[in-house]
Amino acid sequence: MSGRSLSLYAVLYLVFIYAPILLLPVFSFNDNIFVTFPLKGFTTDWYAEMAANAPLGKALRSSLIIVGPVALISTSLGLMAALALGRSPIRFKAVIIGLLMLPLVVPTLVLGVSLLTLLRGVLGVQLSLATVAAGHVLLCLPYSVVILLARLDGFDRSLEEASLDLGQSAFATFRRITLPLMMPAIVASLLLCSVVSFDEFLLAFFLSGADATLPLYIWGSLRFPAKLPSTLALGTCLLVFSVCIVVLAEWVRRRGAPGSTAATGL
Amino acid sequence: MGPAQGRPGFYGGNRAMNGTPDIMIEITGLTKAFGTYTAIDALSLKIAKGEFFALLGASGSGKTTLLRLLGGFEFPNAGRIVIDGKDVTDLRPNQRPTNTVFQSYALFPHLTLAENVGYGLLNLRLPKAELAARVDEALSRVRLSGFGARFPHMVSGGQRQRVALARALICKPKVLLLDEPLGALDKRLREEMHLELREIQRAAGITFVLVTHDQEEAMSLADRIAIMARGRLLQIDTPRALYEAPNSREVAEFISNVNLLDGTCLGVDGTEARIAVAGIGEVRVSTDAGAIAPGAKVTLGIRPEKLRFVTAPDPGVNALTGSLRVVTYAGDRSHVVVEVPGLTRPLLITTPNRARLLSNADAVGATVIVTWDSAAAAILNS
Repeated sequence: MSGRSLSLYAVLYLVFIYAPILLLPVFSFNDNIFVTFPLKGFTTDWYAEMAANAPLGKALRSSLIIVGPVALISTSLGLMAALALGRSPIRFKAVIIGLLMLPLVVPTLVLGVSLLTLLRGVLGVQLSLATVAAGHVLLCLPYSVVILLARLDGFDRSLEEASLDLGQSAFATFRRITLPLMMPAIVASLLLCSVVSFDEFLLAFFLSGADATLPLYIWGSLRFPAKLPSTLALGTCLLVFSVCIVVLAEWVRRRGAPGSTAATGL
Repeated sequence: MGPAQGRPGFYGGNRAMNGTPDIMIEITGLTKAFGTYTAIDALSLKIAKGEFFALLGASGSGKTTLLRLLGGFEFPNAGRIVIDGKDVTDLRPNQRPTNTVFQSYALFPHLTLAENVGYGLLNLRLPKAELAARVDEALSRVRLSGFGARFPHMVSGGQRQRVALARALICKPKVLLLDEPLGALDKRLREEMHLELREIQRAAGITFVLVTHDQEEAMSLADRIAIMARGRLLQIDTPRALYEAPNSREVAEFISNVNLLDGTCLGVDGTEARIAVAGIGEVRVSTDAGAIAPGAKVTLGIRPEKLRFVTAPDPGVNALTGSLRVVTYAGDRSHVVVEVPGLTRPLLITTPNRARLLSNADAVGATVIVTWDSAAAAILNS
């Protein structure tokens, strides 16, 4: 294939991925309650409507409340698991890694039903944002372990041995050497877990009580055509926010990569 | 003591002392197994204070495991390690009077060179100014003054190596452990570092234990060398003794090239033994009185440079006639392969390039006479 047709292929590829997403901001500024071409005119009304929408604000707040704890708990648990798997001789390592990764392949629908059964039927727990958060931790853990384990494999074990050799205790070595070197992966894990939790619908659907998370609210509001344009406005805001997060994550990752000039502050 | 123990006594050791030098490291019956694989097999060894000691062996011989046991990165299944009179067998690396220069250097990538070098002093909680002064001094000792603010990835391999050395030495260890420290450097830099290492070791008076697979490196650096194979020590000796008087076939073959002749002792006349070598007849070998008895099966080891070409052999001197097969030109010398009727393996001969005779490729196929002194061959036990 020639260079020209390869370039064309690459462009088509990107259009295929991003064109649907880019329709979101276009229609969010369109002065028409029906989401259809041709475009009628420019308006920011939908954004004003979105901002004034109290249930939406509440759902957003609910989502944001659980994102922090979910990201922190999953990343902490993931870090402990990664250190155990990557740094100590452990039996049945492959089996343990397999079990940790299972939530990635078990259908979320099945997870949701079984968690609901466990929480309501067996434990008799009241459904709330806390139960949603617990479910999200389960879902985020494999991502966290994968990210952290990869970073742990990526740096030389003898760095930690050198720290011990130079008189530092195991804990001081973790604090002075392991943790700083893991930091880019820890930040990446926090960001990814946040995104997964923020975006998650199925588990939230099963496990939430009276408080809807944002995805639940959006799904609910799609039943009313009049609310669609303001949902598009919301989608646009989320899109801009995620792009910022991705850029931030990449910047952090590059800063942390050894050999980069950014790491030196020069 | 197993058969692994070499000849007794210390050839190198603490030059400052007369008589028996003080022992810095004493290892007894050390065994380390990984699963069913025995990496270190009931090994015993003494290393003197101030000695530059090398562990030389092929990969998988257990030399790195032994160094890691000394540093406290692995713990043995059996045996004791005593350093400077103190049993350290169960101590962790941060509790031992040892420091290590790692093969990968293991410089902390997120710290500057100065922070790397000062890392070992953190526990002392020195005032900032004093810490900085000691780090500066350590950096200048390895000729890296002014590099303190840089990060490890910004300096060359040789400079990283010297930082690793400075970082380990700043703690003033009793024993410095070096794991193939020059393996990643090119040949010229390696030779420069050889001189520098010897200089630093002499000045600091610290016991160095070097692990290497490079016999030239071990020979040019160490007071004594231990040859390791299969988790055991085959021979512990000075570089000279290892080369000139190896105690076994395996050691002779590991250290450089050697021609091996199998034979039987016919008799001993004074300091010369007569050996019947299969296929070529009788040869004469110098030996200590009583070292060898008639009828004993022996192997003779003759280094390639101890064989000479002559046009006609002197009477009574060992000589063989063969045909020249390969000449490899190596500048100051040539490596020659000579096939001798009756010998299963051809003779390897290293000859200085004075002789125009062998500088000529036409020589291949020519009949040559090879001779050696009776003192040139070493009698190997097995």
